Amino acid sequence: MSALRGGINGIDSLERLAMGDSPIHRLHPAVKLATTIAYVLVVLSFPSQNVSGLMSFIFYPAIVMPLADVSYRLLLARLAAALPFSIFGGVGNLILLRDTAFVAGPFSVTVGMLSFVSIMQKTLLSVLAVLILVATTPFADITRQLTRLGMPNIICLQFVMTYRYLSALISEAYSMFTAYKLRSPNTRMIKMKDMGSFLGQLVLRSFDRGENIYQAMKCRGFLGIYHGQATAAPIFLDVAYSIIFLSVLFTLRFFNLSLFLGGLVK
Amino acid sequence: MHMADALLSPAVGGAMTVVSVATVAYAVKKISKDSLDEKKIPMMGVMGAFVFAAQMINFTIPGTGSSGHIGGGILLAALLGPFPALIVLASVLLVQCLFFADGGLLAYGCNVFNMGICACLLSYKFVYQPIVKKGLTRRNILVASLASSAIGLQIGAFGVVVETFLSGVAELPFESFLILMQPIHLAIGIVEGIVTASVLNFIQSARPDLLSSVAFETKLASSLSMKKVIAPLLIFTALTGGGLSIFASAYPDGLEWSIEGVTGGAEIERDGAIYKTMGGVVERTAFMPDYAFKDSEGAPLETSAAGIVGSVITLAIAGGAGLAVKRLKK
Repeated sequence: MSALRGGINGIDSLERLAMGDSPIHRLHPAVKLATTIAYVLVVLSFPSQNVSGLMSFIFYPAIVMPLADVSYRLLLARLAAALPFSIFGGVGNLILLRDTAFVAGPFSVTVGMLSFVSIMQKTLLSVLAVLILVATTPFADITRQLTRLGMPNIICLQFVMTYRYLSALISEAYSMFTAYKLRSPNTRMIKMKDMGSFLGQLVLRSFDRGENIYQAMKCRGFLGIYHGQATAAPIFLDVAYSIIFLSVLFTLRFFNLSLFLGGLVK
Repeated sequence: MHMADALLSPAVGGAMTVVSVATVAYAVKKISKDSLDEKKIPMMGVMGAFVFAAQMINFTIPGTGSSGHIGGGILLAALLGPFPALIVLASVLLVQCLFFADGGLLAYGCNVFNMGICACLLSYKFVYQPIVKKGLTRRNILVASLASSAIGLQIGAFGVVVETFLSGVAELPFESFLILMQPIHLAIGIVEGIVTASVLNFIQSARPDLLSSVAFETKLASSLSMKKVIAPLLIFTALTGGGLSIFASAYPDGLEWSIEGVTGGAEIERDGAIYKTMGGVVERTAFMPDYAFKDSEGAPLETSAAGIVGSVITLAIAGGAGLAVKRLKK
């Protein structure tokens, strides 16, 4: 059940990264949230086939990741989760669009190949952007910004509590699974007929856990409202970063840097 | 069934985000108005974590050699009620999107709709609830879970196909995509339904109060105005239409091209946006004249050459910049 262990480790490692200190970590969380959303939107607004145009956007992860001390390995492992859907959707393009876009020496490049590559580029860039955000911004800061954007208190609490109890519940499931395996050797996974009582037990345990947490929160004066710490206002550096980031972003959207550089080489 | 960002257009992603945010906001209003006791809040949080943990536990599907896990929409709705369940699923999807790269940021609205709204509101309300209201027997729970899981997943899968098709990024024809998606999700839905039923039956035998309080609690269910649920869907239709037309006028080549691809129509034009926008810049450049980059008819295509070479240069510069930053930091 490596998925369960992997889940716990994955959250831990991202949390540790988010607690780090770097110029990117020090940026205002609202700035990071806004720039990430803008980046993803601009990347996705590219028409299919525009492989060279999208190439310039690799600058963001390439520069920000070393700057923020985020390891490539961790983030690339996460990419695996997003790939199946994109590959599933993109393979159709590869098969259906067989018209030759251009011939490069002995190879003929089809329109399908171009659009498949551009889908993969979009997957890579959008996933990296979101992971960079969570690897450089503590979870509580992201929630606070979402609340400031108008996210209702109940959702905010929901989000915080789901995240908080994730490792507790995964550990619970892990010990139940270990117990199950010890009682039924030579089975790799849970049998479907046992799944009802297995998950049912987990539900009941979760409910009990929920009750206990509620009592504990009540004892500490919980009145149904989540109070977060106030975030400092953005400083000059945050504003400057946003302006530069957005200008470069929109310039690269309409100015194809790769094509320009390629044109210079005669 | 988590959709990723790459196959979505900003117009469709944005429209679906509006629909889902509006529906979730309505759910919040609903449960606040019905004075959800504060006790339920930690409960919902822990149930969110439960869904997460449950999705990581795979079970063997007899006779197929494959494995599966539950999605949890109907299970949550049966245990918490439709609106709290939707809020729980929406927060689970947000955690999955941010921390596990499972479903993208722009695709968040689509995922909340396909996996949350379809199961927790539509399928629960119209399929699950009417059946279990006749009595919480083992048989009724089985029939209700099976039917609602299967139907919920069918609507969700149809949502995936429509959203992907409207985005125009994937070239898979609508019918083929539909034929691929629906039967797979019917099978998944049946397995999910059986497992959901066995979990619910177990809970019903261990803690009968849990299910009956939700199933027969008419307070939340009867006040569910379907007009208000369907209204966002209409807004979505209008927004998608509007959004797509803006998108279409901005990128005529991309959209026409994808529609032609789907309908099996005209050939692909080679004067797409990539060539038009940068055509002027590289008009008089020629790269490696004797190692010509030509299109299939033999006409030189400098843009392709410039594109490839430029992309490699860009990649190299970006990589170099990254390495430089790393060095400088040390």
